[in-house]
Amino acid sequence: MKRAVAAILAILIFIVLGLAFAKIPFGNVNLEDYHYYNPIQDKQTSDSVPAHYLKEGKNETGSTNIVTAVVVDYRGFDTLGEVTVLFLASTGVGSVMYIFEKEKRRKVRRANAVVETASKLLFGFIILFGAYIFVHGHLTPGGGFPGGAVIASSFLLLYLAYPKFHAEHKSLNVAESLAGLTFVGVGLIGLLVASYFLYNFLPFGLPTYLFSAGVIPIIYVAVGVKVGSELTGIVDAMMGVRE
Amino acid sequence: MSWEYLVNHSPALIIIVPLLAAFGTPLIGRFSRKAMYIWIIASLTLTEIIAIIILHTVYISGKPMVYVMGANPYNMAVPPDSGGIPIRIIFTVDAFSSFMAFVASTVALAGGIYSISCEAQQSAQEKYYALLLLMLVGMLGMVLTGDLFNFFVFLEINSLASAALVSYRIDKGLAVEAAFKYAIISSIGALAFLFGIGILYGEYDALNMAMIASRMKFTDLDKIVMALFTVTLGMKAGAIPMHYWVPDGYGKAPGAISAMLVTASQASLYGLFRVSFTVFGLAANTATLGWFIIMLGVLSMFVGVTMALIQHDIKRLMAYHAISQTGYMLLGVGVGLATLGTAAFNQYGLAAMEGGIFHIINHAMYKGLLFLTAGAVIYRVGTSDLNKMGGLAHTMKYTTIFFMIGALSIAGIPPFNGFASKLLIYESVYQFNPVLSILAMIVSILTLASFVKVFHSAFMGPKIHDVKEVPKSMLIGMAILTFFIILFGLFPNIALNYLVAPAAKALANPLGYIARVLGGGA
Repeated sequence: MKRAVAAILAILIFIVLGLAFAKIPFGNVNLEDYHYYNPIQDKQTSDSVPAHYLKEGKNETGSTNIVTAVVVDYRGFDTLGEVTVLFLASTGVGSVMYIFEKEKRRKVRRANAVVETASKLLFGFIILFGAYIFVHGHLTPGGGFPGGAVIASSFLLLYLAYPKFHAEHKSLNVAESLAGLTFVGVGLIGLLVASYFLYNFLPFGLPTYLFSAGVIPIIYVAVGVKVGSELTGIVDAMMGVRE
Repeated sequence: MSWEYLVNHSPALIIIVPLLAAFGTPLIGRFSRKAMYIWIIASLTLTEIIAIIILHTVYISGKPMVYVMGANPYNMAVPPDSGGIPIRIIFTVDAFSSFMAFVASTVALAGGIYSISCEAQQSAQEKYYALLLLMLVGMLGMVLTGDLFNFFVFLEINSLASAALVSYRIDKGLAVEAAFKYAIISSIGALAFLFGIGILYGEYDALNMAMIASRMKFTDLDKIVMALFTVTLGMKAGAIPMHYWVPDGYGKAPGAISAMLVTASQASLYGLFRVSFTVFGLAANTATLGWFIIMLGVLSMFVGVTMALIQHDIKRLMAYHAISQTGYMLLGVGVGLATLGTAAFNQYGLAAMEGGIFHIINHAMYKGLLFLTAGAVIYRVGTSDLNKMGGLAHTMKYTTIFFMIGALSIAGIPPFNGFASKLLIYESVYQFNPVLSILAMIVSILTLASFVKVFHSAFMGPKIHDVKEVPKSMLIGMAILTFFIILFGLFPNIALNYLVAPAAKALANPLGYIARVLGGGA
C-alpha cells in the first residue's frame, strides 16, 4: 500500500515537472549547416547517408537530438530488432535459470542501516531520473536504452539492500510484453492510418520542445519501460532465491 | 484492406505478424494454454500465407519487391532530396529471398504444430513459443532485408533465439552447455560480421547492399571484409572448418528446434550467397571466391559424412549429415559463382546453381522430417542412443514410414526429392570438374549406408520397448514436410519452374538487384 502511494506520488510529481518543462526549449533552434567529412575518401561529401542525417534530420523527423532521429526514425526498424534481442536475452535467461529456484537457496546477510535507508530514499529519484532520460530522448542525450538501464539499476539497489526483496515476475513480464506490443502497435497504426509501417504519423510540433517529434517519444517510453523491466528480470533471475 | 494493400505491404507484414505474436504470447499464455496454442498456430499459418503471397507476387512481376521502412510512400527507395542514395532501411525481396522465406515459414509451421504435443510436459511453455516465433522472425528478416546492418540485427535475433531454444530442455546441464558454446561462437561471429559492416560503412558511407555494390571498388580493405563475411556466415551455416557447434547444438535441441535450426543455418547460407553474388559479385574475382566456396563445400560433404558414420547418438548423427548436405549446396552454388560471367555459366553454371538452390528446399524438408522423427523416437523411448533402441517399427508405424521417406530422400533415391536436386548437381558439376562430381556421389552412397544403420538399429529387430505411436499433432507436423518431399520428388518441374529457376536467375543477376533499388523502386 505504502509503496503504491509512493509510486503514484512520484508519477504525479513527474507529470507536473514534465508539464513545466514542456514550455522550455531544449537545444539550439538554428543548427548550422553541417558538412560531413569522410576520412577514407578524404573529401567533404554531401551525397551520403551521414550528411543527409545531419542536413535533413530535424526537418524530416522533428527530433532535436539527431542521434535519436537516426535510432528511432531512420533506423527505427533496427531498434525494434534490438529491443527484440533484449527480450530474447531476458526470456532466455529466465528459461535457463528457472530450475535453480527450487534447488539452491543462498544465505544472504542483511545490509547495514546506511545502505537500507539511502536506497529507500534514492529509489524514487533514480526511477525519476531514468524516466526523465527516456521521455526527453528526442531532445537531450540519452533515450530508451540508457533510461531503462537506469531504472533497472534502481531495482538492483533494492536487491543489494534488502536480502528478501523480489520484483514480481508476473508484473515484469506483463510490462515487457505490453511495451513490446506498444512499439509494434505504433508501427502498425502508422501502417493503418498513413499506410506505411513505422510511419511517423503524429504532428512534429515545434522542435526543441517536449511535445514534438511525433511518435518518437511514445516509442522511447515503450523502449524505456521494456528495457527497464527486462534488465530487472535478468537481475532477478541471476540473484536466485535468497534467505 | 484491399488485396493490393495486403500485397504491397506483405514484406513488412511477414515480420510484424510473428513479432506481434511473440510479444503477445507471454500475455496470452497467462490466461489459457489452449488459447495460446491457437494464437501460435494461427500466427504461423498467417506467416506461411503471407510468404506464399510474396512468392507469388515476385514470380508474377519477375523483379524484386522494394519496401522502405517508415517512408512515405512505402516503395520510395531513393528520396528525391537525397542525391540518389537510399536513406532508410529497405527490404529488397527478390525471387531468392521469397524462396527462402517460404522454406523458413513452412518448416516453422510444421515445427510449431509438432511442438504442441512434444513439449506438452515442459514448464515455461509460453517462453518456448515466444522464442520459436522470434527465431522465425530472425530467419525471415535475414532473408528479406536489403540492408547490411539490418541483416546483422536479425542475425543476432536468430542466434540468440536459437541458443535459448537449444538450452530449453536443460538435460542435466548438457543442453545448456551446447547452447553456451553456440551463443559464444555465434556472438564472436556476429561481432566479426559487424566489424566488416563498419569497414564498408566507413569506405562507402552506405549500409544498403545495392548502394555498396554499386560503389564497390574492391580495395584491400574490401578483401578483409570479404574474408570476414565468408568465414562468419560459413560458420553460422555449419561448413566444415567452423562446424564444431553443429553436433552439440542440433543434438541437444528439442526435435522441432533441430528442424528449425536447419533453416536457421540456411538463412546464413543465404547471407553468404547474397554477399558473394550481389555485394562483391560485380567487382571481385568471382572465380577465386567460387573455388573457395567449392572447397568449403567438398570438405563439408566429405568430413561431415565420415564423422556421421561413427556416431551412435541418433541426433548427433543427423547433425553431421546436415553438415554434409550443406556441402552440396555450397558446391552447387559455388560452381555457379566460379563460372559467373563466362560462357560456361550458361552451359552448366546456372544448372549447378539451380541444383544447389533446389537442394536448400529439399534439405530443409527431409532433414526437418528426419529431426522430427528422431524427436518422436526420443519422445517415446526416452534415449537418443541407437544402441538402446530397436524394434520400434512394431508399434510406431507412421513414424517408421516418415523416417523411411526422409532417409531415402536424403540418400537420393529416385521417387523422392533428394534425387532431383542431387542429379542436377552431379550432371552440371561433372562438366565443371569430374572429380568433384564423383566425390559428391561417393558421399551420397556413404549417406545411404549411414541411414541403413540407423533404420536397422532403431526400427528393425525384436520388440524391446513397449511404446505407443506418438500423438496426432506430432504426426501432422511430420506429414506437412512429407507432403513437400513427395510433391517435389514426383513433380520436380513444379519446384524448378516456380521456385528454383527464378531464384537462381535472381541471384545470378546483381545488376538487376542494384538497378531495382537505386532506380527508385517504383
